[in-house]
Amino acid sequence: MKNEVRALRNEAGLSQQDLGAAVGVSRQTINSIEKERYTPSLPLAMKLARHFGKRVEEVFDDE
Amino acid sequence: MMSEGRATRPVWKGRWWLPIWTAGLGLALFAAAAAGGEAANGLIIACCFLVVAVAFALAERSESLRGIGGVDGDERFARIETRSMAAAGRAMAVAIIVAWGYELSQGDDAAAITWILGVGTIAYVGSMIWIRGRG
Repeated sequence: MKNEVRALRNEAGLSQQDLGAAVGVSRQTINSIEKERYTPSLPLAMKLARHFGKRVEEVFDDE
Repeated sequence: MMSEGRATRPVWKGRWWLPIWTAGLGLALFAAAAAGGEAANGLIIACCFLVVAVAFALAERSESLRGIGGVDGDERFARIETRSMAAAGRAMAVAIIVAWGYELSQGDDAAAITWILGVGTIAYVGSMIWIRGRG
């Protein structure tokens, strides 16, 4: 699924490890989401969106 | 009383659980083989299990091995594990059915394989009913 996680993470100056720790997943999971190989669950997508102060649909795009 | 701030983690999520379990399984198989008069074969099996146990113990940097051990697994690894288990289950089902047919074609009653197949079938149907019931 297309997403803005990498852009938002870079904007916030966070490493994949930092973001993973903040939302409770591994660095590899953040990497997979950014590469659009893994579609996160709704709770994780909401956590990520909240972490960046955005709505889920502003971070993830299913089209 | 629990100490403040101390993280609680199930035993099976601990770092040492998988290495100890694997080594214990190797020793149990050695004991079984020795009881059946096949101590030499049992020793080889136990050594293989011990090598795997050491690999698990030293695999701090491998996400796959940590995930298999349940250490620091997250939702992505849970999905990987579920799919891997499903793939392994399919492979086992095919192997058991082929072995069952082979044994029957050789004139054997294949009782042990019939039992395994029966348990597997009941476990599959039972799990499906249970999981479906939980939504």
